[in-house]
Amino acid sequence: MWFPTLFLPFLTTLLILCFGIGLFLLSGIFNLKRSPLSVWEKILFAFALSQSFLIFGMQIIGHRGFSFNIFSLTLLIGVGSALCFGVFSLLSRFTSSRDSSDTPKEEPPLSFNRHQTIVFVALILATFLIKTVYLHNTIIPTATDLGHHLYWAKAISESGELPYYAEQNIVTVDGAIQVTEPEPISDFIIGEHLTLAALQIYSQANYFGAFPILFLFLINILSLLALATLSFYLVRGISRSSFASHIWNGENAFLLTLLFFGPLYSLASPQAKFVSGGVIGNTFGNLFIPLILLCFYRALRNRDSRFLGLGLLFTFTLAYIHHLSTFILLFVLTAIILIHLLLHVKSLSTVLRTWFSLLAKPLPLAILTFAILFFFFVAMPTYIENSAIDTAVGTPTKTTRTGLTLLQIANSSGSVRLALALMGVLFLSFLIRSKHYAQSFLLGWTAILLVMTLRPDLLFVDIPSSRIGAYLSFPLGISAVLFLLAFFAYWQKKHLALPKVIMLGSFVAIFIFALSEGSLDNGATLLETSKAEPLVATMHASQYLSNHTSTDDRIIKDHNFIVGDAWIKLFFMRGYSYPFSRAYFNRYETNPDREQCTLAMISTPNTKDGDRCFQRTGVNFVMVESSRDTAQFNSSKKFSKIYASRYVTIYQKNY
Amino acid sequence: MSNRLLLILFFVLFITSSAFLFERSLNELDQEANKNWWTISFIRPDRVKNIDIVVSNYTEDTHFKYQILAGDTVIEEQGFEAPLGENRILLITPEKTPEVERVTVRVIHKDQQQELFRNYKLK
Repeated sequence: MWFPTLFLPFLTTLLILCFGIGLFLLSGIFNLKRSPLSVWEKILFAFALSQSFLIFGMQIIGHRGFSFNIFSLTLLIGVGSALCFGVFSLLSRFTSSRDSSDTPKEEPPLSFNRHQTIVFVALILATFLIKTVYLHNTIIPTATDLGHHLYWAKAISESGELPYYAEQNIVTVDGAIQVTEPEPISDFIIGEHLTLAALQIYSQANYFGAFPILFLFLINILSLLALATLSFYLVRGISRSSFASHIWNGENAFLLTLLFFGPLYSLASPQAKFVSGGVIGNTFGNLFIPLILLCFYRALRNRDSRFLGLGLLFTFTLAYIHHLSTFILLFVLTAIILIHLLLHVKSLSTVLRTWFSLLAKPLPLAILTFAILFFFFVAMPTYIENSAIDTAVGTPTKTTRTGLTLLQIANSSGSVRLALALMGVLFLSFLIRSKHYAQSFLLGWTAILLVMTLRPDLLFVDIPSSRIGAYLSFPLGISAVLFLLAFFAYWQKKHLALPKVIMLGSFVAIFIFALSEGSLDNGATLLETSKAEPLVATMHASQYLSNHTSTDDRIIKDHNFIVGDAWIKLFFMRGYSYPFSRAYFNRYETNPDREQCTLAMISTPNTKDGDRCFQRTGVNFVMVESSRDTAQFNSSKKFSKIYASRYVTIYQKNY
Repeated sequence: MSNRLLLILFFVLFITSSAFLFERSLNELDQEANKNWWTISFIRPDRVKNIDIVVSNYTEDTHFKYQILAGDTVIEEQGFEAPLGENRILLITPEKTPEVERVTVRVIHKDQQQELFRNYKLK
């Protein structure tokens, strides 16, 4: 009975909220029957438009004091989307100029021949199969990041209000231990939680179920299509008479990109592992970054301001979803602009005039106006409100932020992709003299991320290098695709004396190398085993404690050994840092200024320090993993053992 | 195959994968399905002298035994049944709390045992 009662409501809600709204709004911008959009662009833009609508719409009504419930959200969607549709239609009509020099350039749509269709079907099937097999063991809610994020989504859907991102901490002030009042935190951004909350409000799906991961799964798959579509247009944008057209074409680029990001390298970060790990912001960023680049590229190549408007809107949306992705995107766009201007230094005024004429149209200007008004009069992203930008800019201070080596990049992005990508970068730099936008886009995207990853000090980037490295695999993959296609298209066209068997053999060798490395990468990630039983035990214990405590009680639990411990807070909803948590042991060792109470209360509860911490913090319940941290409590006269299972034990302090 | 059909294929695959994963999640989070764990807990942890317990059984075997210990001495012992998926309540608080520093409730199930205890300050 789960299918009609649980799954169908979720699926219907997902399709309407994530595509229905966006498709309706998109039809106000483009005539969908005769539009310059491929089917893949339609669903990608529909999804992104839906996110934009929900994120900004819910913030507007939330700040106006309206509560989030089915009625208010339905009103928002009904009235709001009709209004936006009207505005978009009006603006788009004026944006499409009658001046022939401004007429958007049309081009034939994406169209696979029979062989390419078979390849596409095989690739998409393999992609879904591999990711589903991986998620099969990780679909249950154990991931720490996801637990933290869903606390806020649940806070929104339960309270019906926008959340205040804050947490209490245990601090030592002048030698005295105390618990602070809730202090603002910048790690969470509203756009990561609003759609999930809306999905839950409508479908009443269980936060402990599959729906959050399925939502991220959808975004991950869409990001592959975004990359493939971007590849399609980039290759289309580079016409070379020296390349055999049956090899060098957009459709082949689409398929090869799908191969490099679909079945191969499908699981390790930043792909399926980010999905199961609940790295919501990054997963969104991995979709929005190529989508935004696609919009801007299409705007410039087709001289169509509607794409520019969409690109600006999605950029602004991304700023309300993930700070790091926005930061990276701004660097990428700056690099693209600078490289393009450098390549066209002799015709600078023409280039700038073209850009200005695209920008000075109703739709892009209206989007910019909306963005400015929203930013200053409705809400700023939390990381700007809390002035958190300063922490990302500056000379890298820790060793984890001083850059990765090429070997580390090869390990994370795949040595095949890296090797081919570097060849691709060379190819773009030296072999193409015609200075297409495609060249600027790909060179800018790849080069800036390489610099940010290898030498962040040159750009005053003070962010963990491994996090930036996760963004590198996408431009490397596309560069690799372009190089591979160009290589074989060139040789084929030139009818060089290379015997066909050598050409075929080299292609097969590269293919097998990529396949084996990509599959090995998948295989190394596929070895997760189910943690269902300990997780269910954690949930049972949490429910017990939630039923037998009140807001006057304080609880501490262990993060090192309890499975799914980050989800415990969802049973209480008494604050982001409720219960307190003993963090990973190395956090206490590497940061001597960190409070030590959360360590002492579990590791050494019977010492003077442990006792003092209990007294000052008021913690009166302790939750630990049964096989690890029970000896020190079992031997103590100060604690009663009130709950026990194979996996989790709960103690109560006797005061 | 037209682009529209490929799009339909894409959504069919997504819905199929999602349905499969959704069902998997429901099965995994079912406390009883293919599980082998059990818990004991005090019904009234806030009442210091109360040692009534609830046993939650998620194993196939329904046979249990409990013991009440005053210090190290077993003062009461009895077998009981706890069906799969049920919370079996045991009202075992003695009329008079033993004059010991620790009262323990021990539950034995197959080759495993779990204990709960209360510590008291003697006058």
